[in-house]
Amino acid sequence: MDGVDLEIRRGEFFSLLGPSGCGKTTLLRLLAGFETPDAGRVLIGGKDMAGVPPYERPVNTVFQNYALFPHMTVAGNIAFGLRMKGLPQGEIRKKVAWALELVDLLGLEGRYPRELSGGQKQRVALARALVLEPQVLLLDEPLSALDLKLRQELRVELMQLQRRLGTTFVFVTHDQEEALVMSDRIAVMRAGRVEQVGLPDEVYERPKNRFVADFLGRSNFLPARPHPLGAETPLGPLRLKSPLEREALLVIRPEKIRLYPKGATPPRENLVVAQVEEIVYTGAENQYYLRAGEVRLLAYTLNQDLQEPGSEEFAYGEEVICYLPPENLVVIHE
Amino acid sequence: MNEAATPRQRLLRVLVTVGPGGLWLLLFVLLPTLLVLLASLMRRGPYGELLGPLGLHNYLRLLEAPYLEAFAQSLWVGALATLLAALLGYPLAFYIARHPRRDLLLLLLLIPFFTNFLIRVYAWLVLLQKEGLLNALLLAFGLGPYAFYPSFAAVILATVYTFLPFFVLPVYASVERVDWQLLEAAYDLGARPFRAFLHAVLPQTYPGLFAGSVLVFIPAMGTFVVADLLGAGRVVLIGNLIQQQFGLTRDWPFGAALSVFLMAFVLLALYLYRRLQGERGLEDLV
Repeated sequence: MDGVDLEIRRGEFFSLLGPSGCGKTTLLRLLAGFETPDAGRVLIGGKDMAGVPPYERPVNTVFQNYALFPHMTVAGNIAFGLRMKGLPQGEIRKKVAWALELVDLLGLEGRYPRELSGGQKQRVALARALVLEPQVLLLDEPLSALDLKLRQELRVELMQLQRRLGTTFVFVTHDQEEALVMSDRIAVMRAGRVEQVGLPDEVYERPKNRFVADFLGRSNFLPARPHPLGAETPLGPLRLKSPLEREALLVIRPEKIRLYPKGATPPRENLVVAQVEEIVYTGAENQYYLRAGEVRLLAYTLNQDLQEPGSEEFAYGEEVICYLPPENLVVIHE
Repeated sequence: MNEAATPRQRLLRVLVTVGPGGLWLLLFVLLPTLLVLLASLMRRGPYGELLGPLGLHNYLRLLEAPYLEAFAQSLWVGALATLLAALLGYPLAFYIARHPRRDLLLLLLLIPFFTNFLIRVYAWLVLLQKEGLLNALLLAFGLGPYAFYPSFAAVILATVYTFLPFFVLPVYASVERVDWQLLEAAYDLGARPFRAFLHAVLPQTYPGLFAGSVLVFIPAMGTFVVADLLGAGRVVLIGNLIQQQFGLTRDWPFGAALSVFLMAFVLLALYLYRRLQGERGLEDLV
């Protein structure tokens, strides 16, 4: 960890996004109190957490592999934290019932973890943490062990839960789509550093550096030098919103590149003729791997009505005209 | 595997895989046990031979005071030795399992087994007797000499010493498989260290604790050699009685009845313990 300075707002769904080994889990463990910082401070609700052990922090964790107690029932697992707090029996029962309903597990309270599906275990882990009404809920890749369909369902449920309870969620994930879909704000991390913090669309549309642009979604990169029009690139001069003053990297997302068949009448500037090398059909979109001279480009077109502009289909080897809109060319200075 | 095996082929497969072991068990476990059971129902002849008719008379004799006392003392020695082995062995198993050189520590734990059991018991005798090493050491400090041997304490000491590894090994195996994330989960949910251990780690080691207790308790109840040598007649275990019947007294039927009783008791105890564990789970008891 190096120079991490983050402020997470109350009631926010905040994601720590990065490849494995980037330190996102370590950061979460620092919040939970399982690790102690060599330098720097952790404040929760304005209070310095130095020397505060995990069992006294106002946070609870949903672990990656759930870490349910195998010898306790669902109700036993959910009641555990309440029992540790020494609440009276009646109150524990009431809160457990509330939590069971919250995560839609009523009727399963007598089951043992080994008798539950992955998604149900996930809900127990969630209920066990939320029943303690933490100031901050820490989630360590809680969906990564589930299959795609279930993951997508639980994403929505988690978001609804968070909005309903107003609890601050700190969510660790390596799945960029998950982070974009769920978060209020995202911190993109690499090698123990925070590369960029921002709203999902900020981080996606205005990546601050090559790593963020590459890790979050896919990007085309063009080295660029100053040019009167905007920038000089291997594709020729391109117009930008404002001309470059020094060498930079231009980034454009594949879905921002507009493709036109030869003979169409596209805008007059920022056009490149390219040849289709590969087509990947993903259902919702077509992905075209293009080559323009020495430069490879990736462009997506939506799989909509064939008559709509921007959703034409092209064949292998066909020449297409690519339009790179100036407002979608993001300038990165490294 | 061939799906359409003829009954003969199937029989052959069973015989080849289970056959040798099964035959061994049949000849050297089941058959002798049945013989002991039969003998326990017979009578001792004037020259120690086995005579009919069959009856339960030997089992009725078990209810006489000296035998009940020996049985009670066996239970006491077994329970005490198991408790002490647990107190010493449980933390030791954790220490070994979490040590970077655990292979070496395990070897050290097993080194005593390289020497014959009898010789090790005699070694305790040499250490503990009035002119022994321990007293020599104490005398050098102006203390003693004390009669450490023969005594009940000496019997317990040597019993715990002998069976301690049998406790440590199964617990060690459990500890190695412990999911330590559960400990973090317990902390996270507000459990202080002791309670976190109690609720998150201890239950995971129940199988090891159970196996270790059984492996210490059962032999400790019957080790007549230790009781004989270090108790010198003061400690009479059920094992000593059995040995006497088959040796000195030559009353095989009664010795057989004692053996059957001991076996039945152990099996019943195991069964009850299993039932208890299965139904409630030990964590409710603590």
